[in-house]
Amino acid sequence: MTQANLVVRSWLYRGASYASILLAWLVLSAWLGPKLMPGPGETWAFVQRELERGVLLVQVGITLQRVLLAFALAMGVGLALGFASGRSQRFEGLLEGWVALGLAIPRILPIVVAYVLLGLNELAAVLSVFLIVLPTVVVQVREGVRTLDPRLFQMSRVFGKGALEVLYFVAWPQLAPFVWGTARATLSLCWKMIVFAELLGRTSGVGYQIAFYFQMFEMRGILAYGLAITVALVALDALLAWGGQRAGRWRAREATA
Amino acid sequence: MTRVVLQELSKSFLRGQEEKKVLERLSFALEPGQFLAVLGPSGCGKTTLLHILAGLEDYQGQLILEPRPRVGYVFQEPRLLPWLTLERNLAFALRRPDGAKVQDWLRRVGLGGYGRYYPHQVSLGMQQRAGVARALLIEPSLLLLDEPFSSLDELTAQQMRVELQGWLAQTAATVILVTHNPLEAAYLADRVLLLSRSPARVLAELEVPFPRPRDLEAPELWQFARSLVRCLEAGA
Repeated sequence: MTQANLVVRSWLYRGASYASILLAWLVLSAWLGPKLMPGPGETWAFVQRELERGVLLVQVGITLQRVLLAFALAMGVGLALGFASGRSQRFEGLLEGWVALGLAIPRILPIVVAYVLLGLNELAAVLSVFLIVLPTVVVQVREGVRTLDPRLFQMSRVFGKGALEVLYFVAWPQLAPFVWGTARATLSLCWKMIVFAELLGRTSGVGYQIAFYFQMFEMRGILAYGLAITVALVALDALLAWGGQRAGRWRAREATA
Repeated sequence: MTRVVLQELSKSFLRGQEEKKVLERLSFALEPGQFLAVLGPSGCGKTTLLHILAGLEDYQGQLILEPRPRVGYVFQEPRLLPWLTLERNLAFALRRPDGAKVQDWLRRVGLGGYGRYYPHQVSLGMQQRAGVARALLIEPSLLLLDEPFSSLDELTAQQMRVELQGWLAQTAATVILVTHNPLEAAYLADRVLLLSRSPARVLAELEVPFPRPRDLEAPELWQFARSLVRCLEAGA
């Protein structure tokens, strides 16, 4: 089979997968009725109405802003901590209790605790989500750092390479596929948690809108806002997946050699 | 060119609670431009010795490298960066970019048309050639060769030994070759240092009594190599 055929087939499978979701939605809507489960058409009409009112884009934007802030914080701090704990057993030991606690704790707890301690504000929402996702970033980056080939660092030292050159030419290409993979997982976790934090204690954002339409028992609103943020984040995820593919090209080349 | 002097140099590693001695009071001196082969059984600490000379390991005793060397190192395996092309791998070793020099060395080691290839796209022998070129293009004053042909098939290794003689004639570096192949030592080196099993001690230091260029097929070279083996066996 030619490469072009393989690509076409791969896209066909993807298309079939999305079509099956749409079909399941239609079946569920027909079975439960439009009040309990509005179909794609009714939901799209609601989306259009919210777009015309100028509310949907603003609310999605607010949520995205919070998601990206928590994501950037978690990736920045998580990369530094993960790198340090992957390189130093002592540091890993010092961090281990915190990481274990962070991974084990029920994810709703930091949100509730932050709202109690800091009040129902932006800082509490973003900070709590940052704390929820941070241990996952640390663990994944740490595992990536452990796979770095020490022989290449040795070679770089022999040839007198400086720290920045080693980081750029030796460490980053090995670490990049892990970092992009971690970024995807982190983004996914961040937006779920932010929507949850908004639902619990904010007066704006997609989570708040979902809570609002839940109280109104308006399924169209719940689905419309859920769908809008999902589409936005699928687009962002696709961007990260593309970046991850580019970063991992050399591994793929080696694997197929 | 670098003068190398080792006086009572020792090295130990900590394995759990236990201290394992690898090198024991090694002493030898190497004048600038000389070629020394270090011959010893596998696992006796030859690579550790090179790591010390390259500044990768600490040690006890005294090590004098005069003047401060520019070290070129050929590893047992090519150790190229898989995400860079061969020419960029060579350029990586340079302090300042010099495309002409990179191309020149690629040509000299027979990789003229392969600069844009990635390491996985060429054979192991070609990768090792690139490793040799990377070590030589920085114009090292001290060149360390760590069993550079041990990962190659014998035919390729033999060919590269012959070629290495030619490449080395173009440098003025002091060279230390670590090997467990007595014929390789006899063929390439001015002097051979024989090491015992771990912890490595100096068993003997011999001059190689043949002018250059040498012939790998010469019976006296083989005879000399056999005498090296006998010395090693006597030491063991």
